[in-house]
Amino acid sequence: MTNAPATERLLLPREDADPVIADVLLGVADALAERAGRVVLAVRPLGGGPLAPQHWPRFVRALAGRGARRRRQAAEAALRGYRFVTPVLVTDVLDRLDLPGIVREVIAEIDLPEIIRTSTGSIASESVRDIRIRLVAADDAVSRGFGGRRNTVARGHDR
Amino acid sequence: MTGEREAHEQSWLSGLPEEARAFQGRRAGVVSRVVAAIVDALVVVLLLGMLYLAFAALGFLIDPAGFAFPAPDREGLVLTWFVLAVIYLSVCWAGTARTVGDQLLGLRVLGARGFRLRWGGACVRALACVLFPWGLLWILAGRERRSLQDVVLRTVVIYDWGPRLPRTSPAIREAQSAGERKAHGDKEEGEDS
Repeated sequence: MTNAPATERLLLPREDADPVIADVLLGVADALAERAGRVVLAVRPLGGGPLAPQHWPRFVRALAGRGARRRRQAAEAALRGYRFVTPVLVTDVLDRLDLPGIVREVIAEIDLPEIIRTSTGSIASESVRDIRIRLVAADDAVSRGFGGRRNTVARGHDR
Repeated sequence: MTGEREAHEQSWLSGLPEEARAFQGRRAGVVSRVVAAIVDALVVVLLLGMLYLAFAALGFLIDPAGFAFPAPDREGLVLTWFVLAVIYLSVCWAGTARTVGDQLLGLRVLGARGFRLRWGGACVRALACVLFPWGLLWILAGRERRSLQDVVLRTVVIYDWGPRLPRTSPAIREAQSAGERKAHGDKEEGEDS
């Protein structure tokens, strides 16, 4: 972990690492959340009974309706904002990316001769190539074995 | 030398692997050719099996009620195998200058000038190879890696990993790359047709 990036060291500290100030705040928040959870658990049974919406007084229900309308408006505004911002953001990101450069780099990485070789089909796979080379070596070995140095470089025609 | 560079580019474009360029066009040795011959023999056995199944299917279509698998005698089978082998070898050599075995091992069968065999030559060579396969062993005895059939019929078998049959003969290509454009180059050009 010694050569891990700084963010990783901060977010994923080792067990024996020294605590930081933020850990104190996190501890306080954790304790409070636990308490609040207990309170919620204690109060929850009331939700179905005396605290159910049909038992609310008229003015509370009016307030709740107002709040719900406001919530829907806020959600719609947020959604509109999201739909407006996203294309702008994506367009901006795409503008900043050097797509032609990336494509050129990828094409440079692709082994074009190998693809030609495989797509012509009749030039064979790695294993067949291996067998052929071994047999060529065997041919030469047998030629040497039978009568010393033969004319192994004879070309494919008569002069 | 531009000729060399052109040759290199051509081999690059044909997808010829680096390791094959060293022996491309050289005469093939006995091991490769024996293995190719064995592969071809097996291919002919496969063809024979397919022919048998075709005959059985034909028999079934003609008389489904009284159908029984045909039971050919051994002599008939061997004779059919020989005939099939001659047809197969002639068609392959006159067509693409290589059989399935040659294709597998990257070999090509060419005439003395380096061109593909004609139908007559291919048939005679096929007959000679099927009737006297031991002629292959002559490669060990001769000086130029030629089987007995090659010596008699003036043919050669070369290493050729290229997928396609070249348009010109190796002799012409060599002469061109060496810059030796003499009168005999034109004479060989006429052999192509």
